[in-house]
Amino acid sequence: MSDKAADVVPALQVERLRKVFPIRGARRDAPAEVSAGPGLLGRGLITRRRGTRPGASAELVAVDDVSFAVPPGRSLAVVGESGSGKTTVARMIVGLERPTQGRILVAGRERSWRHVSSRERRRRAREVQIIFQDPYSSLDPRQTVRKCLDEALRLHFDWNGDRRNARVEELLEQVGLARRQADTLPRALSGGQRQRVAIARALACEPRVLVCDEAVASLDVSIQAQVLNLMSDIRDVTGVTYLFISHDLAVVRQVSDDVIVMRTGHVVESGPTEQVLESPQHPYTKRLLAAIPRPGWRPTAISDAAESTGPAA
Amino acid sequence: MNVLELDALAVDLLVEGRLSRVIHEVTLNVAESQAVGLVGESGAGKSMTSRAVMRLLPAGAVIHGDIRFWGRSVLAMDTGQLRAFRLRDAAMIFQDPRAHINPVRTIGDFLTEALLERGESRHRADAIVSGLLSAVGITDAARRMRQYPHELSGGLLQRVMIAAALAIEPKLLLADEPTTALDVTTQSDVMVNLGTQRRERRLAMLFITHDLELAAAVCDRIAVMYAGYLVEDSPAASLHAEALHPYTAGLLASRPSPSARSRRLAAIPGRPLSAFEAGDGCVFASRCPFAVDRCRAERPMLREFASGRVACHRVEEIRGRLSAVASGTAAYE
Repeated sequence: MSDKAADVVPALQVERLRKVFPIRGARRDAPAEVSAGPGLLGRGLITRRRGTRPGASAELVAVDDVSFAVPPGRSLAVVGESGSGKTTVARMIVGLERPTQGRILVAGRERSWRHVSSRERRRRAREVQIIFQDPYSSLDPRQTVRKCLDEALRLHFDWNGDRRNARVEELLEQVGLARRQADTLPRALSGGQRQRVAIARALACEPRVLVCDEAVASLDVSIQAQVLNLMSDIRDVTGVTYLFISHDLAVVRQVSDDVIVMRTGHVVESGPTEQVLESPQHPYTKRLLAAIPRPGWRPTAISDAAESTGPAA
Repeated sequence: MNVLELDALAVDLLVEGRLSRVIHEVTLNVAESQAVGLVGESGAGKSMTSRAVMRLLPAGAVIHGDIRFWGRSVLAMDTGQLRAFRLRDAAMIFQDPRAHINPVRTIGDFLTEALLERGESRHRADAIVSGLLSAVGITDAARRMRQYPHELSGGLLQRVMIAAALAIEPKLLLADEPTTALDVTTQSDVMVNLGTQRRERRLAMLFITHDLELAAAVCDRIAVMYAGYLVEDSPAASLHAEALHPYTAGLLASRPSPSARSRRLAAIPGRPLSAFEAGDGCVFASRCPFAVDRCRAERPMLREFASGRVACHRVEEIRGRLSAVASGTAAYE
């Protein structure tokens, strides 16, 4: 995305990524709106049955023709509203969903081949780690913080106990958790502290790419600022590459160098964050920006008419 | 005349067999046509305050002080009066419409229930409700009324919730994070409808949110709660230029902006306290960069200051610094 990075192998690259979910069990004569949830048909996401997949009467195109590259150490944000496909992109990159079409490369190496050894799967997991939105459901409630971090280290490195312990201490220090918190269960921690544990667990594998899926969206404002500062410190120290999935343009401005704006599975605008947010070209980006409350803001009806009243049957 | 008066409201909840105080002496008025934003982080007691107004608190809760609607004590109402109060005078909009609208009844059933209960004819109730649906920006009301909640998107459903609240022609609207679960563009649409209806009907509104910027934009006054205490009550227009409490200034400074990247966000250190964790002094003292010994020893009372009210010992001294912090020109320290 920036010129000087063109000759560097991108830390993360996706090419023409596409993901289609079949919608099973829908009656063929029923409106797809009913079977697929509200609003999707009107927004162009659902197509009626074309192929011959048994049981599928409609398809949901969650991601369509998405390409981008992130140079090492840079930070790319994917923004969009619900149903834009941004989380599906993240899940495919991490390996939680399989792309229907397209390629995903980490440090130039393809990771979308299907049948691989468990060693290769572990190697892939080490390269890309994810931090989820909700730290209340992403940690094992019966595992102490230390066990949680130790497990990640044991799985990915051939280290002895002392070395792992030292690394756990180092990770705790890095994410700003006190040493005494290492032996507590998640239920004794606040939301912000849990999210720090999730960050430490992701960092334990020394990933090249850290995917943050709305990682600060559920935190209180004062805690959100702390975690955003922490993430920027971590990038300075480790040089990790970030992929931020977010609906929040203010957060995006703070954490990303480049941004792509997604809507109904498509990329509608991309470029350096500063440029996109200061002079947005696409009407949808403009609408997103106009909808953010700020001093002097007055809410206006900005969704287009078709959306604000939902799809016509 | 004030539509709603909270007079030294305190709430004790039954936690593990013991009463613990979650709201401390909140005194707050909402006048006719006025919108007051009740802002705070999780555990600040803002939802509990609004539920106390409707007397929708968990079993075993004890309310101290008084809550008055048009001068009449809500706490003194008997069952019949309380029912009438909820059916005619005050309406509540919740954060998650899907959890508060009966999934097995149609939208029309949901919307007309209160009207039929009040003795309106089916024909008239339908007419009122379809008028309301158009008023909140839902076209083809007749079709929507035959549909079920799962057939509507979150934004539409929240508009249905607003229409339901307006259907009883209340004087007081309690909106508890009505747009938090919505996309920003949908939030903007919903706020337009809510604002228009509120102004046309001269409704008093208590608007509960964690989003200080949103509250400042759509409310007349902002009341900031922290750990069960009201720490500031200021006109919304002057909030950015002159935050009175260090917590408010910190909240304004810690929120990133879409129009400028700061090298480092001015994070408030520590985490939000719960009401029962508060010690003797100011509840915010442990996180406040301006705290002195007096703040840790003696709890500040909410008092009149400048154009609002604030609970801070040092507001006179630190006023200038707070403005600089809130506008991002000074570090939060």
